[in-house]
Amino acid sequence: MASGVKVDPEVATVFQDLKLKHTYRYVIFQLNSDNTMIVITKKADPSATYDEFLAELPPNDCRYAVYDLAYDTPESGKREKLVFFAWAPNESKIKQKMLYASSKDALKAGLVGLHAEIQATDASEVDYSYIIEKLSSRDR
Amino acid sequence: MSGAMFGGDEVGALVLDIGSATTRFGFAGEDTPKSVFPSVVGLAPSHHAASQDSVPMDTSDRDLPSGTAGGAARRSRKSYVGTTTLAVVRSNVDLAGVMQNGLVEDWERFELLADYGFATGLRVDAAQHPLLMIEPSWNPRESREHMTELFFEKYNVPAFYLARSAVASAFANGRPTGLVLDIGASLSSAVPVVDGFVMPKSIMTSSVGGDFLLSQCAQYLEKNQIVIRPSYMVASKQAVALNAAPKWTPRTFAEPISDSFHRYSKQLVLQDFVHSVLFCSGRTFDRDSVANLPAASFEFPDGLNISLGADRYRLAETLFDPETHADATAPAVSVSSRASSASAMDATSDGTKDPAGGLAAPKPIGLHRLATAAINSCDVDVRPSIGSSVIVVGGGSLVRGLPERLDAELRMALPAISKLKTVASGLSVERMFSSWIGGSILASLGSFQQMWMSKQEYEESGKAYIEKKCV
Repeated sequence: MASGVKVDPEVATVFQDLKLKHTYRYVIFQLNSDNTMIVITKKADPSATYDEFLAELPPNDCRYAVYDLAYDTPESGKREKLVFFAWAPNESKIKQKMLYASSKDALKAGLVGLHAEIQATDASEVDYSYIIEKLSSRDR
Repeated sequence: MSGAMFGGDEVGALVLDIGSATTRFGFAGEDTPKSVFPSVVGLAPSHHAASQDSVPMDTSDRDLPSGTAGGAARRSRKSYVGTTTLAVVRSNVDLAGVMQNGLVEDWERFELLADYGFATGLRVDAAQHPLLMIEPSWNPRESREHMTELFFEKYNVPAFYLARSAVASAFANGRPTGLVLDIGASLSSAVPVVDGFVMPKSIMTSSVGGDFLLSQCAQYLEKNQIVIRPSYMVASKQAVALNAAPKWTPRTFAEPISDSFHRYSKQLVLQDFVHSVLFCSGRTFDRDSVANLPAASFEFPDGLNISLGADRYRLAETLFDPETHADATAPAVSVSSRASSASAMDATSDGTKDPAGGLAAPKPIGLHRLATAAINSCDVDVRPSIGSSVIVVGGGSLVRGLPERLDAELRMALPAISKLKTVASGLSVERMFSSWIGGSILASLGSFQQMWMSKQEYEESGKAYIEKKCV
């Protein structure tokens, strides 16, 4: 059951740059104004922080994002992971929730090499330590 | 026309969701279904059957149904659909629902419901509007193909789509992955959805739901020597003091009232009772701890007033702990849940399994245990993400205090899921109509137009093509 929404061709090139050249720290996607295509709304420099990323998730609207997450683990040293976020806060309109939920697969199909996916509806589900914990548990 | 609410594109699609108790039908893009009516169809005896059963012959033909046009020639029986039509007192009309164990069983009544929906509910020509139908999450292939064939052949719809109920509910809550706990009338289901796909092997069902509560309440009232007299029986009544014997005068009828009509009317009173009185306590029921909680009073159609203290909590407790609190001898009261649910309490088959397997009548299982069992039957990797989105929907979830209690129980039952989260929309219409609303938004999208199964595709590839179009 999919919405039939298209994905902007630019998404593929920007994702390749993020994945292979680490040109961006994160990229945020949203639906265009007539709800026909998923487009890029933000490309952040590699120097951007996770807190800056969180500040860009609107409290009452949905977004998708890919974050190039680099972190240290006590056991195995430095890690780099591509994390996909589907952000759908409870406060967003039901139409937005439906649209983003039914269009996610179209976007993800073009993003090969993601390590984890976070379905988040409030701040606690995008909390940095929670994300790290989730990523580490997958390594075991 | 529509569209204003969601700002949807104009496609004129219709969305149909037939539940075990109510049918929801409306225009895509609107925020609630325009027409909501009982999934109950009354049938007068056919003349042939009538003579066999030696019932009076002069009763069936006078009250003509207005909405049920377009019947096939083979159908000679008078039919009655719709809230007001069903409320008219008629003798000798057999009322029954169309679903059994969450699947369409009675296709004759199903068609009558659809006839009514198009002609009277929405007053539209079916051939002019694409139709998105919400189907049970475990709808088997034969049933999907039958629906496809029926709507293309009989109603001549230009395009058709089948959307799984649980997926539509999950999407409408912004969660492609989660557990949809749908507390319906005839049964409750816990359906895990992962990335927009139902996990059919992990679907669990329980007979604990709206109708179950109704029969528990009926049994409770009976034990307390309270006779339910639906409003059709009452000609007049006087105000009486609490618990005093009602003073009322009965209406008289020339002909005997059919049993199913009486049951249907009683069911309406019981529904009212459930919604105004029952309350889920915050933690496991214990008579002493709820003794100080507020009581609730209820007035019956005959004027009898009663007040319930601990029992309003105890009756709601049957949703969570049917083994301890439910009365296994409670009679089935709903006319829409068909014969089998009367014996649901002592069903011997494995009712927790996927009903597609063998249409076994589900057993009564507490709601939190139902959800827990469904989550635990999923792959261990996806359990945390499913458990962090337990989506509570369905009319049965409107018993006050239910989502809070469910959340508390699940936290205790699933300590391994650190981010356990129960989601219940604060708006009761969004809970009652969640899958309809999801379908309404989807069908109104301009981009969705390429997803429909068109009449042309049906003609070229046949009904089996629905399995490819609507996975």
